Amino acid sequence: MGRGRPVRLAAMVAAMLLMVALASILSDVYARVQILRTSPKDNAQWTILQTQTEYLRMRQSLSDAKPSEPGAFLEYKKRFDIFYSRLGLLSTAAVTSNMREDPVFSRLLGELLKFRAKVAEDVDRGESAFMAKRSEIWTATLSADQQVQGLVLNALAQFSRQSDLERSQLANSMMWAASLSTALVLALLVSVASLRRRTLQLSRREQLLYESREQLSSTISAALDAVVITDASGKIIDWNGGAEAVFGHAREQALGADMASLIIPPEHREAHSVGMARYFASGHSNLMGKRIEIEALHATGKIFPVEMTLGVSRSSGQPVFIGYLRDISARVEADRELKGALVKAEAANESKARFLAVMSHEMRTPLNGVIGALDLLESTHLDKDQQRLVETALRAGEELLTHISDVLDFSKMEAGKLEIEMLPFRLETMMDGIVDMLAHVHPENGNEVSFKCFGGKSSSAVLGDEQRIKQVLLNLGTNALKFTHDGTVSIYCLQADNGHIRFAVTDTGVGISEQDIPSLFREFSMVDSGLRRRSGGTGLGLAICKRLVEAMGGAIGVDSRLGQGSTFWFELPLVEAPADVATETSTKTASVAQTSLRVLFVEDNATNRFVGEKMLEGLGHVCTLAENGKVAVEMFREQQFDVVLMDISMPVMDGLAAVKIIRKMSSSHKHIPVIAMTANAVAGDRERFLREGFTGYLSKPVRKTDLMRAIAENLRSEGAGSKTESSDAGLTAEAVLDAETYRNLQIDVGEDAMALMLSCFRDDLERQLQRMEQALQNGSKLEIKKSAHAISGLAGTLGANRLNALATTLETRIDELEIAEIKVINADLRKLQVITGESLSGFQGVA
Amino acid sequence: MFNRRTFIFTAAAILALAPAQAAEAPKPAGDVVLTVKGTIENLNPAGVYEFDMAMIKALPAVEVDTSSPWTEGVAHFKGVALKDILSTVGAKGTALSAAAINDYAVEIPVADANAHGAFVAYEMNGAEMSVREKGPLWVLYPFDSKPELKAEEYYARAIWQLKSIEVKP
Repeated sequence: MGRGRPVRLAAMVAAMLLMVALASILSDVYARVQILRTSPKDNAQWTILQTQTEYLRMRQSLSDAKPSEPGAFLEYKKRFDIFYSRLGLLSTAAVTSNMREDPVFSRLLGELLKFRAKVAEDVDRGESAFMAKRSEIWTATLSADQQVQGLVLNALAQFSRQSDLERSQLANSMMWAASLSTALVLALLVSVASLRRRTLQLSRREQLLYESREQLSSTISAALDAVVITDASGKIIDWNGGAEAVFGHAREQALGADMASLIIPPEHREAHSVGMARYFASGHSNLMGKRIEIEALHATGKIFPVEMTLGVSRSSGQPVFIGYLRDISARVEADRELKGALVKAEAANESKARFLAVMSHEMRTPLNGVIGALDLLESTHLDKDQQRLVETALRAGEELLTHISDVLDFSKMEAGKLEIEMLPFRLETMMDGIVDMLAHVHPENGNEVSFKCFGGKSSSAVLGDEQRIKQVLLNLGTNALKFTHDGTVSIYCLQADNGHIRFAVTDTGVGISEQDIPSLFREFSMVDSGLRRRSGGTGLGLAICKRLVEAMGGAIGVDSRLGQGSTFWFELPLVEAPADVATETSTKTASVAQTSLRVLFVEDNATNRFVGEKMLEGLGHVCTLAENGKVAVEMFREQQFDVVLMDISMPVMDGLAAVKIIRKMSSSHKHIPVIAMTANAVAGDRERFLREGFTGYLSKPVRKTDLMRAIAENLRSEGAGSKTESSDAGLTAEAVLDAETYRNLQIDVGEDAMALMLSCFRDDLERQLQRMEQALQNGSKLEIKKSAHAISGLAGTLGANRLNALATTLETRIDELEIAEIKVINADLRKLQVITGESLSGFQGVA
Repeated sequence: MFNRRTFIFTAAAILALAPAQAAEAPKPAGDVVLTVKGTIENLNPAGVYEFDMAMIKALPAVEVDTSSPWTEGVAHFKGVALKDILSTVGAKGTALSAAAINDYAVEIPVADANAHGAFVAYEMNGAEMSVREKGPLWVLYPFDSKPELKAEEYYARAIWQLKSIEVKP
């Protein structure tokens, strides 16, 4: 195509035209040749020549015809007749018609005919008449010679002219014929050349096509996957090596077979034919152009999964379907195994978690009983030996508890179930609590424990997991005390350069050698004390500390010199807690004038019940026992209580169900504090308990101090209502009066000023409360806010923390609260006023 | 078959019969229009075969319509087939030398008589031909019905004012 085509076309058209022209020329030539062949031209020439001859003979015979000779006249007549007929030919014959057209010829001939007629007249009269005229005729005959000659010459000229003409015409024709033939030949040559080029082109193209087809064919045969091609009716028209391997049918068997019967499992065949029909009808198929996983049938009858893509092409106008299939049994199997392994792993994890939960509960519960009982025993009247025994037992119990907790903690961390809480707490108060606790650790070593906080953050609240930090500090502190004798253990907390809070536990103990340091934080590794005393322990303590610190986003480390001492430090990125959240304070002082409360103690374990009862009674409360939730609810209905302490996991009805029921009861019970007791210290439980209706929770084993704190908290929660309770961190109660603050103030201002301050405080407080009540009547929140602010300030100075906290809460939350709620808070403030006043009196009383 | 005895016998018979033959051939009554000589068997007294017009006309007539270079259009000729003349004279030859009154002569192969239908015309368009009109006898071919005869060769043989035919062996 392309360039060649017009050339070829033109050449062919030219050739055809030339052939037609040539044909006509050739027929012309043929006609001329025929004419030449049949031409009587020669005849005409002969006729002319004969005319002259016969004229001369006639003249001769006339000359010879003397009257005396007998046959002369007849002879003359004969000659004249011959001449006569000759002239007749000249004048009428077709052969001479051309010559007659010449005017000269015509004239001459005319004259001769006249001569002939005249003589004929005479001749026909007879011999004697003729002879009389003889001389006249002779003269006429002689002069006729001119005409005859002229005629002959004219004829000759004509002949030659005609010959020339004919020659030239023939030559012309022949030239034309030759030219046209040449042209024709050229045109044909061009056609041939053009056709040849086209042929080459086509052959080249065919070659390319052939090669590409060969390539494709090789590609398909060598492909690892099955390539199956079927025609529109479903008959297999191609089947590669891959297909042989995948389906188990040899090529010879597969070709020509019906694809559906060969490789589609029987149960799917119908769906297949429906899909095919749909395709033919609509031109669409939901199978084409994407990967689909379907089942296929193997030659052995086995059904196996394949991944398939389907395409369609055209062959001679008919659609052909091309399928690429891959046996994915292996992959499916692998997937299944993977899923199975995953399920198993999850199940293992589940059972591990369950194990942890169970173990946690089962181990702690009896321990609760042991420690609780020992606690109680300790507060009874004991002699020195008994005291020591109880102390020993208690310490052992506590140590056991620590070990159990460590192991469980470690398991939790391994199972990834360790959760870090972010709650606000005060660093100073935490540290204070630590030091208090450490005071009881290894007192036999004669060490001095102190702490110091540096920097501004120590008094503000920070967000973090206080329990865990305490755990780490306790662990480090315990270690320090263990390995130091007659030395000092100092705990510091300060703000590091990078903004993190850095805690350090420094001791003047035996120190750790350099080679031991790397393995310190590894689990189950223990360092020999150097004094040949194997200290007890699971070796998990530091490992747990490390994990805890890292879980909180910090880092832990140690600096030590053998023989001189060690400093264990850790840094944590603790951020300041938002200002409006109420913070915890330590339970350094729980010196609240305890009123006797009616406590409902719900616990399924008999020992724990006994212990709990004794504890509560020791604190001066009235205790009622219930062994499960159902009993608790019944009792709750029948009697009035001030606070409920409820175990979570109990038979018949557990704590969660019971608290729900209790909360649904008449409104006065809604606000009774219900504190959960649980051995499963899983983070997340806390939120759940609070959501379900508990007001707080304690972790078992519950110590007396825990009970005290929880109950003290009860006073706050009872007055304040649920709103102010919910977001509080209030596990530990605010102290009504913070002794330290009071004492410091006392020292600062002196006794006399103190008395004045106290009376001013009482007056101011009363005034502010009245102002608040006035404002409540008016509905002026602004005034309320101002009075709350004032109360907060007053209380804070003296260390009346609870009052301070409540007033601050009111001040910051004023916009959210309804007037009714504020009224309730006001009532609480009034109560606190009374209590705080009593405490102050108590403090005043104590110099 | 041809031994000497047969030959002598045949020759004698012919010679014996010759005069009888000669005696059998008719003598022309009128003017002699055609003289046939040469290797012919039938002779009248002159040693040739002479025809007058009556004798010519006595022979079976043929009628031919044809055009020719010397006539205008198609003319109707009546004459006698040349082969009839030849058989009448018992011509035994392959060629004929035909001569005209004006001494024009031409060779006509005997084959023409048989194959090409050559004839000797004595009437044109119903009238006898005078010498002035290329008569009395004109050798013609059926040009129109046999276009291959329209060639110089045959035109030359169409001799008019026929006077004599010599049969050559």
